[in-house]
Amino acid sequence: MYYEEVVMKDTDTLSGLAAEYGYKVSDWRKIWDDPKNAALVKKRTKPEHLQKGDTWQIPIPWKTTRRVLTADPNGATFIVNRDGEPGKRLSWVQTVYRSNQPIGPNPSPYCVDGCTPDDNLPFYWTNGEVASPPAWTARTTGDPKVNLRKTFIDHSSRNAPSVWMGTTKWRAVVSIAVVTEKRVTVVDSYVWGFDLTPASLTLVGVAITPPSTCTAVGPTPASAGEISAHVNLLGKGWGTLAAAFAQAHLNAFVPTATFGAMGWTFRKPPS
Amino acid sequence: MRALLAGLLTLCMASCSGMQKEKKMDWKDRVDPKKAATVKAVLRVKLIRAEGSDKYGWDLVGLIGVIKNETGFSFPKEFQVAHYSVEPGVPKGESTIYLERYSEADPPEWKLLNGTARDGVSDNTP
Repeated sequence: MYYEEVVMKDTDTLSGLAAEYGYKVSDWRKIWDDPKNAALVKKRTKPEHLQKGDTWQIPIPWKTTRRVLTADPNGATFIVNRDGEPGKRLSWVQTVYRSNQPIGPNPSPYCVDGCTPDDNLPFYWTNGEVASPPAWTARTTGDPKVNLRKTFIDHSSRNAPSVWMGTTKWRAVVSIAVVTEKRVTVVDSYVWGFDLTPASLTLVGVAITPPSTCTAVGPTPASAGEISAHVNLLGKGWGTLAAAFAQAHLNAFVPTATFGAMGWTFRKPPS
Repeated sequence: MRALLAGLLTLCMASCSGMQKEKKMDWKDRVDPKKAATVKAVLRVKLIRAEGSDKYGWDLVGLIGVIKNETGFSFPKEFQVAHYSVEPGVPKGESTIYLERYSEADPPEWKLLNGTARDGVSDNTP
């Protein structure tokens, strides 16, 4: 668990903040009664007396509760659930290393997924997908009321690489994202992916190397180094605004249009 | 002899143009009107290759013909079409595809209707 520092705005209420950070509305006392907020509670005495500018330390206990990784002949599917309530300041982020097979209009081996940006935000699901989950998310999870703030689903695949390309080692780091303004704290990060070995090399119709195989990798808790790389890559990722600029300028690197340059910050949970 | 050759040439031209007309009619007729009514672009394409997927899969397709295009975008001879990675993409062979914008990016990229071949593809001929 860590504490998210949150400064109240005019329109904020404690129960509202509780809901936004994944608590039931009725659980606002879990924040009020936390010893880290004792000084503020003593000063204001009642929730009705809270003021703009009051600073809360909101405990964030949420963690992933179910992680299912399934390999198939050309890739893997990863489904993750977390505990807590949906909370509109909670989301998912994923960074990807696409090894020797970057695909789609974005040619970079490293990316923030959707790797070819599908919006101008650093999160895995778009706001539209969260508001109205695509039909396949219910089919895939078996949950007709799937909530994408609480559920992450990805399926990655590649064609079998050639012998000359060598094994495709696709890797991703996925995290719960706690969002305050443009500050994103990554929580409970996991590494997953797959190794896809080259297709058979044939000579005069005879296979002289073994057929391609796919092996799932992980999921394993991300190491400190992996989380650092994940956070760094999130800052260097780019959305649709930068993608448009890059296309217009022949995929020139656009450091001024990264999420970091757009004011987003990414961090590990403060200790 | 000259008259015979001219006759043969005329016959061939009539026959060829007739064939072309018939072929055009053929792919232009391969449309699901309900799907077509919900999108701004309906194209007849041939799958060149499926490249794999991250959150989205990307299929490289070759343009056979434009059935409907109210996008203001001129589709090139070859281009990539997205679909959700969990969902089917453009199948092998020739298909009619129903497209929506992939994102707000400009120039635009395209995905199958609702991000899936279930909704964004019809009339596949393998």
